[in-house]
Amino acid sequence: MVFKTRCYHNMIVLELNGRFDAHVAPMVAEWFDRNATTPTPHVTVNLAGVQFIDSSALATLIQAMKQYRQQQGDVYLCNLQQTVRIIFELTQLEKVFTIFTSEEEATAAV
Amino acid sequence: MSYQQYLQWKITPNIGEPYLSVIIPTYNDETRIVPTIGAIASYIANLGFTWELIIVDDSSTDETVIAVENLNLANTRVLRMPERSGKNTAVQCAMEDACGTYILLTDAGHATPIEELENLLIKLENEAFDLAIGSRTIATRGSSRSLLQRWGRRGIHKLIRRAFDLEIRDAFCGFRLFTREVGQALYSQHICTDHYSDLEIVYLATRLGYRIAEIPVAWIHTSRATPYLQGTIRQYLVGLLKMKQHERLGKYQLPQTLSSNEQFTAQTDTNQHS
Repeated sequence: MVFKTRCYHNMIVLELNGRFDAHVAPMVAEWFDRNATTPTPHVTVNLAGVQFIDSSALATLIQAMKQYRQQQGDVYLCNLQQTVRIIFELTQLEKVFTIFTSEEEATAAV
Repeated sequence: MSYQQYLQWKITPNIGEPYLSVIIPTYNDETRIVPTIGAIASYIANLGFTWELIIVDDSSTDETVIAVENLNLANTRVLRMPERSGKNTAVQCAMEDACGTYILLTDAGHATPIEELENLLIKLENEAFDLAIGSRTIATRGSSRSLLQRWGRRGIHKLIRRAFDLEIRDAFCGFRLFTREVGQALYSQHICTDHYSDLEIVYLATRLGYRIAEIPVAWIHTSRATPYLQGTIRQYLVGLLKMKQHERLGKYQLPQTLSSNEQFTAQTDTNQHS
């Protein structure tokens, strides 16, 4: 799993590639924890390069989203591949997260 | 277009027998199973043939069954074992229920990505193999094992091959494709209900003379994946000895010439991926 981050004026983009599973989830959780120190953290997770996301990864995203919302921030998602989109649909998490089609759409909307 | 194919599979029941049945045995997999179903459904729906999904639950104590049933997928069945019966008994039940021309057996944690299916399918469709078995030992890509695990595994398999005339390098990988007849025939004979279940099917397939293709697959170690180097080597050897004993006692229905200690080597194919 490769992490890339980009900073925009209103948010940070976390770009993930590969398989987002129990091996990677602790590192992503740690990254979210480090970025929770800002007053109103807004993060968009770009999942364009992610082919599979398992339950521990979903739990990591949910936990971060809850934490950031408590701080008046949020965790958004963008660029979901079909497989990942279907996983979010089956787990009904597509209703929980704000999902954008692209990074540009996310930065414009937040 | 592709999402439409998934939607169609999700809501429209198959007419007639499907081309492929996918069997996933579960036990307390409520958190793992739904993402795995999503990945499998998304991928296979795009392959252009009819298929069904069978979840066979070995009497979970969590909400695995409810999690799957709540998905309301038109071509998915959940079979519940009335009591904890072991993997092979559960899979046997699902094999008997399966309608597909081919039957894929895979795991609830998506340890082997479903994208590997096509490599196995080609062997059965085009080269008339009876079953294709994923191999982590000869995997050339995506392997997440440590050097110690790889060496340990190689040693185990070499020992097994020599001692028990098994030409399969990875007898424990749970990612397997069968023709329906062969899958049903193999699982109808199983005796083991414990750690040896995957091994027993390979043992039987070899003794029955089925053509076995061994295909390298990617494999991602998950917390529930079968361990090999944590005190289980002895167990597997004990398992093989048990099978040999079952064979000698005539508990398996094997061809006469084979059950009388005649040496036999199955035809195998172990093509390496480039």
